[in-house]
Amino acid sequence: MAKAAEILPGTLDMLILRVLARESLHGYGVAQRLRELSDDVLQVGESSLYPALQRLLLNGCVDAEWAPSDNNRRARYYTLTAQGKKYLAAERANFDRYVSAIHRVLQTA
Amino acid sequence: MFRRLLNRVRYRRFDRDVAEEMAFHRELKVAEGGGDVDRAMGNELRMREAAHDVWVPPSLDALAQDLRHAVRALFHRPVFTVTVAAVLAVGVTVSMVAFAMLDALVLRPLPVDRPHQLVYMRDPSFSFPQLREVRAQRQLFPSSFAWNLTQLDVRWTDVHQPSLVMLASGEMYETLAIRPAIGRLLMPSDEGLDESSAQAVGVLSYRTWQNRFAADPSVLGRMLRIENTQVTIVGVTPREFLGVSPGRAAEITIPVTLAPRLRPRDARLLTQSFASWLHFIGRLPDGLSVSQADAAFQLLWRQTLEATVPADLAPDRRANFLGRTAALESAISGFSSVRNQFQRPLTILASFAGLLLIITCATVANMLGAQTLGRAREVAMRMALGCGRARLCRQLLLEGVVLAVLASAAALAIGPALSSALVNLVATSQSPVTIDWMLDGRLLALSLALVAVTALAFSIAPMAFAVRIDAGPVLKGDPGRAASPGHWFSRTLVAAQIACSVVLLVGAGLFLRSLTHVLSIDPGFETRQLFAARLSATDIRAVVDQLAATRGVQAVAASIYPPISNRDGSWTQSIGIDGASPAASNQTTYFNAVSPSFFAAVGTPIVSGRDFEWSDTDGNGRVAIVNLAVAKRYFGDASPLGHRITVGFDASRRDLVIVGVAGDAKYQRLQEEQRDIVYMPYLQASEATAGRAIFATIRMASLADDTLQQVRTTIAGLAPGRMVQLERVSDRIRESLVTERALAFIALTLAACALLLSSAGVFGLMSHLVTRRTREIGVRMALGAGARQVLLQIVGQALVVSVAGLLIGMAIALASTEWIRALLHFVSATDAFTYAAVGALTLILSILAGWLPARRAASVDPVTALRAE
Repeated sequence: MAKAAEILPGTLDMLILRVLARESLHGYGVAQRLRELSDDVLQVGESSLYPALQRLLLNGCVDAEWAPSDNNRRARYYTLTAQGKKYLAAERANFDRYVSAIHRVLQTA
Repeated sequence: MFRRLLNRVRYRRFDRDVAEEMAFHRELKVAEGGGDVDRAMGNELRMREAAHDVWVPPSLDALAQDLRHAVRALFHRPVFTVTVAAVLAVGVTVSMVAFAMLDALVLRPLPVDRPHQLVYMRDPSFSFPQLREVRAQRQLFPSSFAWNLTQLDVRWTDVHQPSLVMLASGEMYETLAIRPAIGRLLMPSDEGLDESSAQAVGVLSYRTWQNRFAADPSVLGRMLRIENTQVTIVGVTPREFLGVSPGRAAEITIPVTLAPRLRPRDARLLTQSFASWLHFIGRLPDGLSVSQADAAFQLLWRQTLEATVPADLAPDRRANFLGRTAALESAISGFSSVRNQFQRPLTILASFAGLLLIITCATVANMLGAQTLGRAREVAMRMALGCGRARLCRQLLLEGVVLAVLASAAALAIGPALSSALVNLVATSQSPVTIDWMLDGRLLALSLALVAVTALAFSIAPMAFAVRIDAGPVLKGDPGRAASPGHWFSRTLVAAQIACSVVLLVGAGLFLRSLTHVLSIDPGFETRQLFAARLSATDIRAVVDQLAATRGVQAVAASIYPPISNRDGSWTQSIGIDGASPAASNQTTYFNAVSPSFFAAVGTPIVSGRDFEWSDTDGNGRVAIVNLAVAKRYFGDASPLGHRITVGFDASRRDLVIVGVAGDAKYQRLQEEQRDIVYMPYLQASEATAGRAIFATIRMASLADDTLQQVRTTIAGLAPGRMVQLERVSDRIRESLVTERALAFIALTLAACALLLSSAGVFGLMSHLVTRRTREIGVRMALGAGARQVLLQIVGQALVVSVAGLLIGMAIALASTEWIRALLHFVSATDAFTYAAVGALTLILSILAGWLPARRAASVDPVTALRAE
């Protein structure tokens, strides 16, 4: 496994939502997709993934539904809701601003 | 927040979901073969809990846990729990019922649209012409009505029965904005302008519709006979509307203008400016306050008096008529004679109930406190395991809340029964009282408030004890030394209990003394085997003769008021002596019109002069018999025989010659001051007797059922189709004392509860003290103290507490005498006997309550006590 990085605090929700924006996934799928997309840089632990998913569920950003998985087991699939989309967009804008601010500081200082 | 609470309930499902999800996750991970899966996953349980905490905040979880613990702890000690809950239930129930009744009679707004705009006119009643003038002022009263409640003979489907009838303006329901349950309500057109245009229609109350007609909708259009008039039922009022007079619910409402047709003596009721018999309720325009309206009303009232004063009035009476004052007052909760009668007694009972509630709270607090000490080990263990004091207190508070909830549930369950029992205590056939026990928001709010306050109040003691428990020594098995907190606290509670129960005892004692005083009063006639019967007959001679001929009747007489007239009212006039004008007198004189041998029949002696004869008729000279009070007031020691009494004015002026003096007798109630009474021959008092029922007063030779039945048969024959109303005069006396009896009974019951609880409080305090000091007592006895000394010391301590409570209680009782003075007869509110008796009773009971544990202390074996060290 490649060298893993801790996920920046406060960005996990946004990352999960972004991953779910493309398709519905179960918890394991989310973790895997995050790893794949980030070329194994972002590794999310189960201990933060599931509480985060529950939190998003509670806030209405995602919906959950039990459905058969690829290997024919029951799995809980999470789907992005309209509210989740809105939340993602807002978070993303925030994050972009934040990152570009850091960039600017790094480049000019 | 609400969703989180909901989650709390559904958490099991969420937990299961998360667990299954994790298992799935793990499986996939194993399938992928990612090395040491267990290590990579970490502590799965912790992850699940982290996920759980997202759904349910940990504090909520802990609260539920505490609640479970509280319930379990209470279930573990069922006897204790039931006892405490029962004690508490008594206090809560009594307070709740007292409040509910006070609420129904005094506080609750009428169930009508915008009741705050309603006003009534003080004081109490006015004539029809006056109210017609007032009601014509549409700027001040956009809508208004006149009304009166009266007991009339109504022929329901088959039986005649005196029933409460409301006479009201057609505009009443419009003013109150009330919709009918079925049919229609009265309208202004039903009232018309006067007697001739009045419609003979009536509206039933919902209750009557249910009780007498089984809620049959075909009742509309049916005819009823009220006194002399046929009335058609046109509608039924809604269920929640019990009339504008709390406590007195009319069965049927008819237009006020029907009044003259009902009874012959009411024929001129609508035209007389004097006849004050109607009440007024009006609705003010939007935005006008009662005080503003009253200011405007004063001018209107003077104009009304000017407009309605009869032209042919003598100057002194004219001034009298024009001098009458009136004022507007808020009618937000209606206007009621029942309320006036019971408001003060109820307020006093409510405060008594409040005192009882305080006592029960103190009792429960002490019980819980002592019990917490008993649980010292459990408490110490929890503290040693890291339970914070706040958490501990919350736990104890929750136990209190659970107890209080149990108690209020019991109160809500038995409250209605208790309240109707209470109503039955004060209601009589002559004066029905209707109080609606409504489990409404106010009552629920009250019970919740009671739960909160009581739970807080009595949880303070165990909390105070618990936080002072020192975990170390307790766990080492040395509770005696560790548990020594808050003794002052329990003592204060017990002293407070005694103070409250002393106040209750003094109140109850005063009411009881007042009642026994009244009952021992000589009525001035002989009540033994004396009966009174109300007869709708006209021929008094026939009534007396036929009843006298009935077997088992010893003596009989007739009059328009029976002995102890009570609710049947009184007849008063001013009198002048030997030609003086009655107007000059401001002394009230009571009148009665009686048949010959009335005095012999009731057992009042004729002191001098003669009795009436059947020959004392209109044709012969007008005569009168006066009682000793009149003789003494106007003639001193001289004989009044042959002097004249003048009654009435102008055309109706009459001169009566005094032909006899009768002994003093009570007129309306036993507790009245001796009244001036003038008796007239029945046959010479046609103005007063016209259209009135006759009261026959019958002395029976025996109380055997068959003789009474014969009398009933005779009465039924004298007034065919009417209900026979035969009652013992002693029952009339009892009925006239109904408020006094109810007050004394209820106050005594409450005081007995209070006394029992506070004695138990002293007993508990002393037992506890003895248990804790067993060792000390053992040491002292080993050092030579005698059993007597120990006994005296413990009893002495009990006495210190109760004397403190007694003094405080008496001070409070003395300070609040103003409150109950009005309800006492012939007994001072600072009656020394009552106070002394209460003091003695309290002291004796506390000595007894202290003596029982003291005896246990004195029998301590020093060796055993010391060996335990």
